[in-house]
Amino acid sequence: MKHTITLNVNGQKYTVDVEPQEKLLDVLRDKLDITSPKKGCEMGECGACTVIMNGKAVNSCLVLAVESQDAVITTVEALHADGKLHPLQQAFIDAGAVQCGFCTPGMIMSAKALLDTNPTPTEMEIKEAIAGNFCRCTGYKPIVDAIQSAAAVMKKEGA
Amino acid sequence: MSGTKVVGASVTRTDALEKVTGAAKYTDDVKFGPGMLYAKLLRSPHPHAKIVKIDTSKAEALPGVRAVATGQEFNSYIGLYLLDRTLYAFDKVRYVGEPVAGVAADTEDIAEEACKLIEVEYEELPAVFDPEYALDPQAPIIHEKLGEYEYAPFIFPQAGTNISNYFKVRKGDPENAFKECACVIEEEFYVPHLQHTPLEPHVAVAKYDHSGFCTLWTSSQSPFAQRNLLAKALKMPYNKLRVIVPYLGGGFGCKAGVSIEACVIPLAMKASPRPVKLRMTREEEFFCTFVRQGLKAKVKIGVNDEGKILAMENTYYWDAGAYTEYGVNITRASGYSSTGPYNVPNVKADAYCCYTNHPVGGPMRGFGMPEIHWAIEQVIDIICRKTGMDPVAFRAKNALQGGDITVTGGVMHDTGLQKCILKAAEDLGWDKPKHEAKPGKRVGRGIAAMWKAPAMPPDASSGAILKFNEDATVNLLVSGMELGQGTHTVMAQIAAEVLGIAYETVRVHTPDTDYSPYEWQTVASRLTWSMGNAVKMAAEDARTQILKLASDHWDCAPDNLDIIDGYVIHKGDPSKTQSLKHMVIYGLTNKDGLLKGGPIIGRGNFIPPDVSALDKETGQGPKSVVHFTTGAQAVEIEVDEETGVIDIKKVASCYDVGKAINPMNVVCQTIGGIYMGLSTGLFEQLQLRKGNPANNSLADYITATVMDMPEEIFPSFVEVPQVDGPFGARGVGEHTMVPTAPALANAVYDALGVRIKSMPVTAEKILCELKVQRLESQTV
Amino acid sequence: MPTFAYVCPPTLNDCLKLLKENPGAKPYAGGTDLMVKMRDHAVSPQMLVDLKKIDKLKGIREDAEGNIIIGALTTHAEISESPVVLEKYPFFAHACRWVGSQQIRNRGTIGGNICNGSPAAETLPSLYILDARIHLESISSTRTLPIREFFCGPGKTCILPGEIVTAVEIPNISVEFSGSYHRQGRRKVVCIAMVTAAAMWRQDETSPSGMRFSIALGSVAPTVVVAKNAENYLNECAVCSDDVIEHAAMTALKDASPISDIRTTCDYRNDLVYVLTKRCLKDIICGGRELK
Repeated sequence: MKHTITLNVNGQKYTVDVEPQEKLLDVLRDKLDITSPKKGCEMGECGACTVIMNGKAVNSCLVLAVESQDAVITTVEALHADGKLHPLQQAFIDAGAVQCGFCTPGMIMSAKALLDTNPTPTEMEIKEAIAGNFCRCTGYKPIVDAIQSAAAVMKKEGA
Repeated sequence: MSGTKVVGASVTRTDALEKVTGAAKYTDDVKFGPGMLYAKLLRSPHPHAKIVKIDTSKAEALPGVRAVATGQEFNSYIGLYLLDRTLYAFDKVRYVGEPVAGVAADTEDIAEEACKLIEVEYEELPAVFDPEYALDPQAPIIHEKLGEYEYAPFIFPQAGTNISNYFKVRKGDPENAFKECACVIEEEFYVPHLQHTPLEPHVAVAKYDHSGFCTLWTSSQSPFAQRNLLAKALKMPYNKLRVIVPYLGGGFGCKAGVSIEACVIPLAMKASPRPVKLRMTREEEFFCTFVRQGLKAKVKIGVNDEGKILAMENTYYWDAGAYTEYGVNITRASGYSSTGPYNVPNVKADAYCCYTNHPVGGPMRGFGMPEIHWAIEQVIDIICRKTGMDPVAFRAKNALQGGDITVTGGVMHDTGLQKCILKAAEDLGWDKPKHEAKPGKRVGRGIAAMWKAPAMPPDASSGAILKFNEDATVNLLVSGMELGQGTHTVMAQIAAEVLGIAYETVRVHTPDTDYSPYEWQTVASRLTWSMGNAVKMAAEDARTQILKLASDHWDCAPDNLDIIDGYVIHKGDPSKTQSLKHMVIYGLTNKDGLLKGGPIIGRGNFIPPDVSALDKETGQGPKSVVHFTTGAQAVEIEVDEETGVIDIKKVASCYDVGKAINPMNVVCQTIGGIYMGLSTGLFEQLQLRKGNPANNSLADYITATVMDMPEEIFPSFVEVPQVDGPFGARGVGEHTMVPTAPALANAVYDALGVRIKSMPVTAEKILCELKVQRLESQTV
Repeated sequence: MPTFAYVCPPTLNDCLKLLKENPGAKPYAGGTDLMVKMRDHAVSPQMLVDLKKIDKLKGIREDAEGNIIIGALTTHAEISESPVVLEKYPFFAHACRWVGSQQIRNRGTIGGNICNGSPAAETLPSLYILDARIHLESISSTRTLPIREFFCGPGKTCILPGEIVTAVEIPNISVEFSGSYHRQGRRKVVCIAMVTAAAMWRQDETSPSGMRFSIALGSVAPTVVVAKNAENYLNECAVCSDDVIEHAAMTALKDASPISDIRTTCDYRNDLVYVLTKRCLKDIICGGRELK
């Protein structure tokens, strides 16, 4: 049986019909054409599908679309909405934290979820926040560096 | 090379903006509308069996099913070096997971349901799971028709056996040389199957229209090799098969050659004109695409009392799996690189590519080199321990230098190997005291050196087309894939350097075989060198055209002109400057008032100039490969004596890149290589039980996370120019993971005195060896 | 993924009613395990009853007696950050941080983790030594079970049809105590544990050392097990010296019956039982001091 759900994705309201078994990831990708969350494993292991749902980083492959009724979802597409890069995006570019780019959107969302609640994380807290986002290219170090420098920039901008 | 502006600069990646904004499109992101069909494959449950009967009628009758394909219809042979497999299994299955039939349906669920309705009758056959056993005359033969298969001239299949390639080296007189040695060590090592595990699983979409024109969108490292192999197998004119590859979410080799594409095109042909998408699940990815093949290595090294290596005798048994898309050439590479990066006067090497009933071996980052160095570099460590020689000094002393004779009898080009060994050791603090271990832990250090050549056929070539636009921006057309390594950026830098324009104005994008020039494949760390040469040539071609145009316009010699920051200038006359804008399309007017020029299009092509064949019996020849990239890595670890758990403290590595076109990119490749080397060295192993994968999920196949990475990394490089490389550059993408695992194993020995000969170096293996050690010390 | 009916009732009563009336229905909380099982066709519920609107099942509270009641829908992230849990039972908060990744901890719930019944579950050994009680409710009854009686095999609990876990209660400990949790997986984080161990002592004047010990081990038997032999040994010792700890850790092997699987071997699991038990005991006993 189809359910009609209304959700807020990247500041825009969408109303979509979904089957109960449809995953949030598939609805974002196939029905809303928001393709930055990637399908890497479909079992919540790789983190490539990470989005921020109601303020928290979640694997969108493990969320049923029907339960995102009234949810506020953020994907990396939103960060650049006003034409200006988010400090995390700029830091990822500058630190060499991007290679194949497949993990990047999910990685940035995990990092953003962290910085949104903890603007001055320790290196260990950063690592903990992104341990569920696999990357096979970068060796992670540039990513950790990028998140640290984005935090510093955001702190400065906020101050 | 000095005086370059953008070559040698750590400029920002050209693809970074697209990737951080979510704009970058990968194959699975491309939309094909509501008509798209979804494919699923029925796979063999048996490692080795005869197909007695296939009945697809029930599947075909299922509502929503649009096409079913089997080997009954699609049984033409395909293969890169050895045509040993069919599009779908025909008469036999040879590994668990082999595609037996495919279904295209309105939804993935229907396709999956239909696969279950296909009835296949098998007659199980005895199977082979060990490469050494594969050579046993009693072993079942996996390819009865091996003698009839087509193959490339530089591989040597042995008809009537399970050997798909046999590469031999016979150099000097190892038998007598060993007698002169003060120390001879012979050991056996094992490397398990791995899976590359790129974050993006394989996905391909094929559309076959009513006119018989086929378009394939695929996550591939090899669009042109795909077109070549698939068009040939399907008897299509090459220009009726178009391969489009968007960005790749990593590859590391498993997306080279042809894998799932062979199954999706037949379905698209039958479901014409609807596009058909075939997407691997992560579970399938582990055993149904390519895996890194296993290796059993026997390495024997002899040194004299001065610490000079006199002889090596190495035997490599490659567990190449059921088919050998790449295995035969990995075997060849392991033969012509069989000594590691050392000057060894006497060599006997035998490399066997063995058919087994395991998943299909493909290339993986390093192409056999991480595997053989795992063995060689540990035996060298054993020798150093036994003779009391310093592992750094020993390696530096035996390292190949320019002018030395390589294992295959050629002359080694200039190389910075010795510098790399010393630099890695220095950065690690080899001569300084180790950091103090925490209670219950032991600290150890290890080092390993490496070499690797681009392993490719002698005719692996590259093309480049450079097109100017009205505003003097450039579209550079190449078909080397951007799979994360940064090749687009490097190509933009090379073109910009030659043309005197800003690299940001050069757009390099993903290929389409209808419009992009030929590129053999994105493998072998060959793009910077080979495609770089083609791009340089294309840029020089465009530059020549521009200067000719300006020199005609100003009526002066082209030699007096240069291009700087997007302007043609006259070196002797500052009043003469001409913006590239406009002129690169609309030309310039000559003194006689006539318009000259037209759209500037630069053309470049490159083919390795001087690689020669090697003698079948001795493996000797003047030039086996285009060049070798060399390097070394040192590691410091802390091991928990009670659990065997390793903490990686420090890694230092150094490679001779010839010329770093983009130093930051080299560093990023190095850190990434260290990660992958550590991940494979510490954790990764595809567990196969009688041919069945036991841990084919990301929950069970363990890779390193951010937490497992070293506390400190010291990446560096040296630049001994590659004379035939663009600006002196040679490749470095794969090399960075090659010495990691043996350096790690050597560090474990240094810390605890236990030797782990089978990869990966798990905590469990260490503890097991420690217990043996303790028992032995009690009995002594 | 197979299809099913999805409902998200506003009250607990509605949920329980639906679960009773539909034998093919399954309660749905964080979904981190269930979604994977459904995808793999390991379970195919006809109906999912989403519990997420039931506020009663959410949050952590401490009652007047000092018992901590953790609603079944409380996520691992919430527990690991909970001030009251961090203050009273830091080792349990710490155990919750070992669960999966941040994303999984943000979604996965304590109720789901318990009902999943994995012998490798990170939360369970701590809950065992804390003598946690599981609150269960169906449309017709409520009951409370000690956690030690809740599991009957890997993935098997004694939850009855139509019943759900509503909360986990950690009974107040009115005497001095100390607890610790250790685990080891194949890599540092985000991995299923090869062995887990939790140990604690609580002040008890009747035992020779003045301490009564509890030890629980995970991933070494079909369910989490209590290391009875090790506990008994310790409870009879007057002084907890290093030798005693050593011996107790060795004794814990008698309580474990590990198997070899894709994660590791039986032998290594035994090694870890010894090491992790020892480390837990060392954490909670400072150099063999006597409590009295």
